Amino acid sequence: MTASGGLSVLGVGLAAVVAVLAYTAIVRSTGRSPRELAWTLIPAFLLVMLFVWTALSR
Amino acid sequence: MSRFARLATVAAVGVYLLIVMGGVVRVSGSGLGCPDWPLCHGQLLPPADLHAIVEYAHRTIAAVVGVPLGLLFLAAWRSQRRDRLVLCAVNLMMVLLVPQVLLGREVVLRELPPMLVAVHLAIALTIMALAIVVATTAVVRARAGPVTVAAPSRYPASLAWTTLGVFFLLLTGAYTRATGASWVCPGFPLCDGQLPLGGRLVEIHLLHRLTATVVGASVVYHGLALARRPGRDRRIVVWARAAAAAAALQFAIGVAQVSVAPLPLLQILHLAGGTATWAAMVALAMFVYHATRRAGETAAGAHGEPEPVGRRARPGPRLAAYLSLTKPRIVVLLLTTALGGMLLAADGLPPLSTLVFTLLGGALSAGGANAINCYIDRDIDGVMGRTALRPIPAGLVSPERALLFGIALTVASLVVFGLLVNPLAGALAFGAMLYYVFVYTRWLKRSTPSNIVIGGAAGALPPVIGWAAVHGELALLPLWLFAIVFYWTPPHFWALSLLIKREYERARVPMLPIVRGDAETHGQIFWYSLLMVAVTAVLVPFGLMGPIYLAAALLLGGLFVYYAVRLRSEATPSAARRLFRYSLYYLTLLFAAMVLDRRIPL
Repeated sequence: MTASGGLSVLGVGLAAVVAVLAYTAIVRSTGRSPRELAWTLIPAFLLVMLFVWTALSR
Repeated sequence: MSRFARLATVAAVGVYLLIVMGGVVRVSGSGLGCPDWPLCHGQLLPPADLHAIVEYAHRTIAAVVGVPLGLLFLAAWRSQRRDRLVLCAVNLMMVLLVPQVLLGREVVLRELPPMLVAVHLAIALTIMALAIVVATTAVVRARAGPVTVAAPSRYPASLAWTTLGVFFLLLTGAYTRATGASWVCPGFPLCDGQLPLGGRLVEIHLLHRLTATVVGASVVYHGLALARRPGRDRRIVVWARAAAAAAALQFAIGVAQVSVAPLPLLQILHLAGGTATWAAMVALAMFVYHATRRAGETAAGAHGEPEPVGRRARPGPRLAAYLSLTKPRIVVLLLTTALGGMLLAADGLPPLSTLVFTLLGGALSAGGANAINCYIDRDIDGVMGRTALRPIPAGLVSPERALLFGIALTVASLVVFGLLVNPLAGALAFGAMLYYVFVYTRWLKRSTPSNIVIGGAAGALPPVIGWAAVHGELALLPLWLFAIVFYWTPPHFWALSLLIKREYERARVPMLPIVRGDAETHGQIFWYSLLMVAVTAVLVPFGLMGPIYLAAALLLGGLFVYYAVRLRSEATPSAARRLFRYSLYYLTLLFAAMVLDRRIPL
């Protein structure tokens, strides 16, 4: 594996850990059920991805 | 006659005059009097040239006729919401208006191709027929009560076939004229006193003559037969006589045309007579339909209990039951957004075959998914008042047959998409169907208050499918269209669920107002409405849309948020109803603004 490949895997792993921690924090602070919150956040996340994709392709 | 019926009559007469004016344009050779569109020779007013003025008059009448048609649509949604026939008719009328306007433009820009001319006429005739359906229904509803006149015990199928025959006859006439086959066979019944020789134009001409003879005879027969029966409803008698007279006169004009000379006046009269025959037949068919229905209801009422299901399931009602399984109103809304996707993808009107087959495949796919949904939800449909009369709980169609019907429609849609459109559009439509049936109906609907948030993805796919049908690949714009419909769905459905939450509660469907209460639902509606408006507006800075769209998106979106704010502050069913109704218009108007924005670059 090259250095950049290793860094990418590390980056994705870190992002996943941060996302899980953030998600847990939101669940605790809002008191909402984890599944319900996921149903709200998943579409919002996809919308942000679409936004970024569009901005980068302009 | 009620005001609504008068409005429908004015709309029908307006479309009739428009069609006749179209004939004047054609006969006078003014079709290209204004070679551009929507301006005429690049100007707002036409130059002092007869052809330009005639063509421009046709366009002006079209714009004027749009007013009563639009008012009729609004009035129907305002005062006739319970009449499904009227609502279906006005919705279809509005859906047809968009391609009709674009087709009018294409007819001019492509210099009058015969097939487009025929399709343009076909849509105009359909719009006129729909206005007549609305007018006749309004007239009959205004005089509801027991039937005191003789009415046929069951609807005469031959009358419906004859009416369709008149429609086909008019199309053959338009095609004959547009291909230049009108005068290849002078004289009647032979061509120049001889048996006609072969050739494409002669064949086209003879097809029209043959159809005119068969259909004309059938119209006269039905007209005379229906007018003669004693005790018949006065309206049926009047329209039966009118249809018979119009058909006979029309036949005479046609014979005079080919026997004497191709006089312009005769040509215009021929079109006017044909259209009048069509109008009279539609009115006659509708009055007979209503008389038959009312006679059936009166007979059922006289015997106390309604007829048992088994006896009621004659071919007519059964056909209606299967149609009802597809949830036609939802299908129309889905097709509207798919049409929007197609118009945006093609930057105008896509190829006619793509347009027709995509709408057909989309209707089959959505109808199939809805029928399977009826099968899965048959237990809760029977519990809820809104759905208790659906075909399965009402006992009109067995659950197994409904499931088979849904699967058959889905397979048919795959065939249409795969063979006549393209595999990507087919795959997306199939994916939407699977998602709707398994993810939404089977999994989310009964398990989470976010059911319609995530489940809404299925209903957001039609514009993407429309785009894929035209291009065979995807792009960013259709994904944004998906996002718009996706974020429109929660406020739309939650407004509805606020209105019928007791029914959902009885059926144990965990809709948001039941699980979290009204106040939380009002808040969620507000935030989702804001998010939706933001999503619509973001298309402009990305250069995907222009200023016309921006103005419309902000105006329409602002109104949407206003209704959401009022719902939050008033917290009443009427506020929820207002928002729900407006949300139906919103999406159609937003897509229309997108199409306009792409067509009129500023």
